[in-house]
Amino acid sequence: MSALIECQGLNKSYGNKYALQDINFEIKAGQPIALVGPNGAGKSTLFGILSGYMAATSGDARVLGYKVGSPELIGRIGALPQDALFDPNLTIMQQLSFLARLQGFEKAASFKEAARVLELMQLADIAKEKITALSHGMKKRVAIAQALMGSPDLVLLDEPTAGLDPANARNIRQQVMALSGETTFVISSHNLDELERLCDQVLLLEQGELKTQKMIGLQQSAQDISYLTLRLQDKNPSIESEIKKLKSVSHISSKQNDEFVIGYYHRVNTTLDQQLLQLLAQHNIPYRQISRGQSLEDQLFMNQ
Amino acid sequence: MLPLSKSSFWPTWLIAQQELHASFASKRGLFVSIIFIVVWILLLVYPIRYSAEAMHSPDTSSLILSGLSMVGLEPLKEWMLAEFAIYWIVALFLFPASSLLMATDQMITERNRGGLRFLTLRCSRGQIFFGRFVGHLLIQTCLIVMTLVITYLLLLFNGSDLWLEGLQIMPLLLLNLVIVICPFIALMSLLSVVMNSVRMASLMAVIILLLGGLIVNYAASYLPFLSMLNYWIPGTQVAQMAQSTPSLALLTSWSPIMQTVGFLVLGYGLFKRQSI
Repeated sequence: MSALIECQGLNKSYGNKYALQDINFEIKAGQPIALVGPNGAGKSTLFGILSGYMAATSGDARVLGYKVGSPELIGRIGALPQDALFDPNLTIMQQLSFLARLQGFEKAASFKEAARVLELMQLADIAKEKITALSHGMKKRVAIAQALMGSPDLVLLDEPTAGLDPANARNIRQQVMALSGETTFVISSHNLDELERLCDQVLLLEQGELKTQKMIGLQQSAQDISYLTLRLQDKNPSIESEIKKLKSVSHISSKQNDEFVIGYYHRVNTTLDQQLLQLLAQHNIPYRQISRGQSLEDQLFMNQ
Repeated sequence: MLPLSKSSFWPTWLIAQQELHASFASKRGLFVSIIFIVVWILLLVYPIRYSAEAMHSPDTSSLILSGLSMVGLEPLKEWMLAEFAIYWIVALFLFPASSLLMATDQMITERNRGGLRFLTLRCSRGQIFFGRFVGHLLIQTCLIVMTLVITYLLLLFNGSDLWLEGLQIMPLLLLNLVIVICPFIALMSLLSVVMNSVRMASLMAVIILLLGGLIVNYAASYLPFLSMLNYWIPGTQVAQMAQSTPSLALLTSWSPIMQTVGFLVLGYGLFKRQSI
């Protein structure tokens, strides 16, 4: 199967300043992909190039095997652009149905498609409103709705849940998970917990350079080391030394004495989680959570 | 042959339709259109009607005709339809101005708002650019047709017997006026791409149209080949058209058509490479 997205030697500069520098990666269609990095790392620029909003200074970017901006990609990519707003003079339904018609829907079908994506975003009742009547979160959900129209092969979501209340952010995560079979999502976000739950793969951009491309959670088995993450209810620095004594534990790192990431050789000890629970019970230490693996944040930043 | 809805022209047509919709169906567009029509009705009812009546009247026609000769509009006396003769002069100058005003913001506000990003995922930049041009051309064409119809009604209202001649001249006037406004709309298409604000685009259009000739002539006094740039200033043929009949005026069409093609090719070339 050919790559969904393929970038080779991609550069984008504004004057002397590089926004993206020698970006090389390949992504296959499938589960959602996370794009992370600090502000100004080049995430939105990369999305802009992949969506055809701007041209790269040099290098090659292809989506579904076609050069970005090719007519073959029209209607096959959906995107939530950062800070893009709809026309304040027309209703949401007028604008979405117009976009659907541009995408090839017949007139009657375009209204149905607009209604469908609004329903997905739980916005069916605002179809006849103008964008000026909506809150910031609702505007964002309308923009996400337009990205989903016509079930595109690839959807690029630039910070989809930033500024949304928890209930609506949850709905968007659920929709992404539900649609992941037919559409591949690339999601840029600063919410690593959210990305960890949604995505299989992560790309880390820093200062315009691609630092890491990895499968989330796959690193442990490759290196024969597995991880358990333990979160306690209260801080307890003394338990760290007790955990270190358990069989097969290779190293342990603590965050503020109430969260521990425990590295261990899983081939030597397959029941460390149970032993950990016993240890906590013996010392009468209440815990919040024990989970397998490292958090995405730890995977990306712990060794830096 | 592909049905229209499957052809590559279809998105262009949809975008043009959307412009028409925004101009005539939205509250703001409707308001601008109503103002436009009211201004035209006032022009027709007062200056045009009285001028036409004066041209018909044996008492005042000689005075009017000598006045026309003085300002170089002598051929107007050849017109049998005085209402359309006056309309011709007024329309030749007013429609380019209204085209400039109404077509200024073909893309600027939308680009600044980020709204163009919703479109470029669904159609090509060429379809957006030319769709907007066609849309604004249709808007002005609709307005020209409306004013022609009102002028024709005025002709009937004045009790003229020349109702058939009136019907015959209307398509010719329409064709002439559409050709005249084309480069003005195309210039605004180009300026919508290169300017970042509506105000700057309007200002640049005014500079090109009012001062362009002066600047070019001054530059050409040092570098004569620069006088060729005069061919790229829209509307330079309008004064000549006003002095001739609509059928003869068509002979000057090459100039606005060349300007339109030039502005559109340049505008599209720039828009294709522009970051949005």
